[in-house]
Amino acid sequence: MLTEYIPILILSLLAGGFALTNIAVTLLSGPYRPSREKLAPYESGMTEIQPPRQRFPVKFYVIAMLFLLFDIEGVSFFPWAIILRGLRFPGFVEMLIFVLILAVGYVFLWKKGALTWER
Amino acid sequence: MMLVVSVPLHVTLADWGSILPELVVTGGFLVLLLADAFIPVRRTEVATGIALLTILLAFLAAMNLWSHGMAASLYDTVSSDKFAVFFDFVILVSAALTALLSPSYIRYSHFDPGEFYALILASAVGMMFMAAAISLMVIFIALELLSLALYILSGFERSRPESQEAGFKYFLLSSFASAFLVYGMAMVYGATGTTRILQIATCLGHGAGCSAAASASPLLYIGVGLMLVGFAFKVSIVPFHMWTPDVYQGAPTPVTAFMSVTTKAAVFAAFIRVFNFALAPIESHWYGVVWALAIVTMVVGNIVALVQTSMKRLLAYSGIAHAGYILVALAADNALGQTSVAFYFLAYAFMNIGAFVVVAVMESQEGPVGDEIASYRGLFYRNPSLAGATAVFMFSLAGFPLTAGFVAKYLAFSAAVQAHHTDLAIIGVLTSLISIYYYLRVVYVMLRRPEVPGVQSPPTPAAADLAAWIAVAGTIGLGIIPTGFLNLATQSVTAIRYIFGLP
Amino acid sequence: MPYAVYLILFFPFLGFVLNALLPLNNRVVSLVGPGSVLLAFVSAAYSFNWLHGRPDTPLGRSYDAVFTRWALAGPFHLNVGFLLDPLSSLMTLIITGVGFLILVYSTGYMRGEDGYRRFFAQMDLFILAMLILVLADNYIWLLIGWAGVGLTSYLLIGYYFLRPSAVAAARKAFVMNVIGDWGMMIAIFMMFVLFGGVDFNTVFTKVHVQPYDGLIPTVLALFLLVGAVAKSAQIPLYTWLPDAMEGPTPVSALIHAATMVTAGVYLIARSYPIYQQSPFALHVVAFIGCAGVVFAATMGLANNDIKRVLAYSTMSQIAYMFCGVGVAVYSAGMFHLLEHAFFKALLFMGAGAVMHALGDELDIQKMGGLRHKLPFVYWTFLVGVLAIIGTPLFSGFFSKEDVIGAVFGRAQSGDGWDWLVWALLVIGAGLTAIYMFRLFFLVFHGDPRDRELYDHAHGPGWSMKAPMLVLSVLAVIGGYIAFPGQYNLLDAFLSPVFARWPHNGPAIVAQPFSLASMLATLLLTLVGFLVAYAIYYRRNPAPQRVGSLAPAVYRLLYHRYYVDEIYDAAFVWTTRTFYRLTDRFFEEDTLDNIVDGFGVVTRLAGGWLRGAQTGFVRNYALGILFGAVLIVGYYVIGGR
Repeated sequence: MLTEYIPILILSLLAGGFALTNIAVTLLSGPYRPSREKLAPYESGMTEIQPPRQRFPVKFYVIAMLFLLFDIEGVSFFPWAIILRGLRFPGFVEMLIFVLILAVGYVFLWKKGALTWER
Repeated sequence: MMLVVSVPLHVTLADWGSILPELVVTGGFLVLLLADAFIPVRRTEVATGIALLTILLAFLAAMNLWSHGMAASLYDTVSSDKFAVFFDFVILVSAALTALLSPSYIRYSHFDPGEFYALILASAVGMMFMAAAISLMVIFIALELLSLALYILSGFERSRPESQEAGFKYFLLSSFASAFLVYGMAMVYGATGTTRILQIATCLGHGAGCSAAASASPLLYIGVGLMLVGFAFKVSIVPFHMWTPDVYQGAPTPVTAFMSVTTKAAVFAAFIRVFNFALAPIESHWYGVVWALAIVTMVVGNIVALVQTSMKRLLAYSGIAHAGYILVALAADNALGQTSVAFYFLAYAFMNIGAFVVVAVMESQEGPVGDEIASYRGLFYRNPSLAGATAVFMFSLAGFPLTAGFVAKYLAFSAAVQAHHTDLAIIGVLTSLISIYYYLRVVYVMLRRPEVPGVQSPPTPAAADLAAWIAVAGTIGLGIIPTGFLNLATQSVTAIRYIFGLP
Repeated sequence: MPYAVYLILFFPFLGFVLNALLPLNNRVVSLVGPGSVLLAFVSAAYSFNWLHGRPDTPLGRSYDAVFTRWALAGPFHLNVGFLLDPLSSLMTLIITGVGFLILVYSTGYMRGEDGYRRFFAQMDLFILAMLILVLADNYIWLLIGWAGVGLTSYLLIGYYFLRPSAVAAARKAFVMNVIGDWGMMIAIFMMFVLFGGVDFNTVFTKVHVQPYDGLIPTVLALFLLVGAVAKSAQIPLYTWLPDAMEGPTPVSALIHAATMVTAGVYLIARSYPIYQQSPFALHVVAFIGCAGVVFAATMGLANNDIKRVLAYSTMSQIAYMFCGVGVAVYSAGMFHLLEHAFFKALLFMGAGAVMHALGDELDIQKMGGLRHKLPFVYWTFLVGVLAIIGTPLFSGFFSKEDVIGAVFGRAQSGDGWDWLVWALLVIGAGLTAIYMFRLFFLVFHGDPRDRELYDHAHGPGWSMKAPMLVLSVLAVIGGYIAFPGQYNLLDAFLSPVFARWPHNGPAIVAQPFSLASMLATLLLTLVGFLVAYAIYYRRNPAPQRVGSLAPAVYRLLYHRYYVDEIYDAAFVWTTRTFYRLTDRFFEEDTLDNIVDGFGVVTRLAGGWLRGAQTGFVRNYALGILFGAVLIVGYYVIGGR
């Protein structure tokens, strides 16, 4: 009964095995010379200036998140576009409403100043 | 692989009409957002007015829908049967009471009123969809919609670390639980091949239209267990309850008032649709787990409530205990049980929000210590009407006769007895006895002589006063003359049972 | 329009709400209080008229106005319903009519008292509760009204709440009434269990098919009788009534004479289908009645408090009504109830006027000769006295004759015990004449025994006089709706009520009139008058001299047979001692520890469980995971 899931099982095993193998290979073969920069939590991120207990600006993250948000909403256009012929005119109106709601959100963000870098 | 599109492409105006209340609230939400963006709604009254007007219009739409609902609409994902509409009433009444109690708190905490009400309405939309959903997909989307708004609302009081903590805790744990829920739904889909509740019931009932092995598949049961975890988290069933006191205490009081009733109502509506209807054929397989959860919840909720010193935490544990009582009614899995759940939430909306109105008023008058039960000392002498209202809510929550709480509890336990689950009813009554102690302790503290005699409280804000009076009237009215509302609840349950071919 | 029945209730309710909630000044209160009751009277009269125009059949003369269904769940439901039939219609007329007159009287009597508005609010509430009592169409609402009048009676007896004796009297009345409420509740529980309903229709239909002299009707009737006895101040639950005279005089007139204390008679008349299935219970009612007639009258002989004498007379007269319903001639009991409301309210108003004139003096040994100072009160009081002793052509004659004649008729066909009832009633008539004329002569005739009081006496104002005038007219002509041996309009009007559930046993021979009985009664009444005349009018003696004729009897009567003391010793002392002992040995040593133990263990468990509430998200998530693993594990292992 569960036989139809065997491919999934095999795939997960392959994926897991690949990750584990890679980690094992780097650990075994690579040189290990730690330094302060290398041990930082986010090696490629912003340099840590002070302990994160204090407040720090999150503008970058806000904008990144907003981008993701609208990006994902935008993705839903693709399936819609495929079946638009079948949906006919009501489908078009519905998408207009969807876009309108998105637009309201966008306008709200804009007006609230979520998109301005310097305030 | 060819993509085959086989969606029934017939969305008519009637379909949209069947979700008119939800649409109205969505419209109100958009209006509030735009208004907040263009004409900065600084005046709380304006935002409150728009919110109340929206709720009123939605209420009228829901009343219209009561007699013209559709069993299924929008590709069989949403139902506007009387059961859904009844929960719409509960949610809208709660939202209206919240809107009445909020203004003083908004001013006191310097909230942005436009955003605040917009989020309340957004979460109400999610709740109403959740109560109306007849597809697992829509249940999940609605749950996320209502939760997202509540995460933000819980952390809305940015100046207070407790509020931020509450928002973040709620977000993390709730996402964790949502993952269980959606995983469970996926498994149930895997086993039955459908996400539609009616079809799941048909499939499990007599195997028509899906493989006969579905009801024997381990996938199905693991899915049921995972969905149970997801639902149980949202209605704070032990052991998935631990977020509740922290979030209730940290969140701004109007938000706590709102979410404590409406989230539970919406989730329980979906809970009933899934467990009492879709999964009714395999009732013997989930009853044991629900039985255990109900007992643990009633016992732990009531016992831990005994040692609370904060009013909001007390009410949080009381809410956990009440979730246990309602779970007893759900476990009964009969018409009376479903009726009692519906009635319970109507009663709960009045008595629990009423209790939070008191907390909000106390906080606005005495600052953060207003949440401490000790600060209620002598309230009968300082502010007799507020203390009287508090007593009514406490008596009702404890389930004293002539209050709404009694009728609700009576129905829930008699449903359990009717279903021959006498053990649950007995434990429910015993744990209710424990609860009397902590509810009446509040009354006792209010009756003690104040430390500083002769001081009068400042007057209660008019809107909060109105909310308290409505809540008192509802609590006592439902307790004395429950007949009419009980009829509504019975009709709503009869309607949904009819759809599923049950008597 | 039958909906006038709601208006009967609505107006007193409105009056109560207005008086209780709004800070009205006394002038407005004086309008709202009596005005609301007047409107209720108009509605009651309208309903009466409407009912009169309906077909003269048991069902035609009965209208059940269902306001709303009141239900929890299951097959049991309860109506908030009001039954309008000749019996309840008559009661509403008495309550609102006499109530209105007494409230008008109160505007004069209570002028200048503290808590004027409180008084009228509570009076309105009383009238509302009394109307609910008589209009209810089921026993639950009857009980609500029953308890409501008990509450308002308590409040109004304790109206002067700064006076300890008033508070004690209020408490006593309340406790005794609650004993009665207890009896009624047991009866109602039994009805619910046995008959599956508590509305009159269900109960009476089901009790009707019970066997004649069966156990169920008897037990039900006796438990209801506990309520009736407590409310109507009959043996053995009567000791609260004399003490209840601590309340203002209008309260005594309305509640403790005209209306509330007669509720027991109403209850028995209303529950007649139960009583007539149980000859034993009816006998008990009749015996309680005839014993009370003489017992109360003798206590009235030696009392010196003007209002307490009237209180004993009330008890005695209600005992007559008990005898009337006790021989299953219900209309006779109701007839006496109606007339008693007129003349007893009148007598209390007279007593109030005397007290008003003398600065709240109650002791009749300090009065005397007041006929010169208070001529109006003198004449109206005389009318009341003549009516109560049953002088021919005054109202009390007709109604008392109806009762005694009914008992006589039953005695002729019944067992020998009914002759005892009859004999005691006739003796009671003679005693009534003695104590009423003793009171009358001591207050109004002879020489003033306290000069200072006498000199300062002043007559009542018109707001007090007008109601007294109306009532004295009614106390004369009120009886003409029936004439012994000729016609009886009241009986004809009430007969549809008592014909609806004809009794289910051997036929009762009712012979309402007998010339022999009437002559015997009149003879003893005349003798009683002559005794009082000889002692108190001709000789005008000091009380000690009268007492010295038979010191032991006098002392026994003066101390009211020591019943209060006996009750104290038998119930209060024993109960207290028992409680003290259990408190010491059972409560403290045993129960406290057990109860505390439960509390301690529960709280400890709470504290321990609270320890799980660490505040860390990771722990909470672990909790969720733990639960999820348990549930999923349960399914994986195979628990399905």
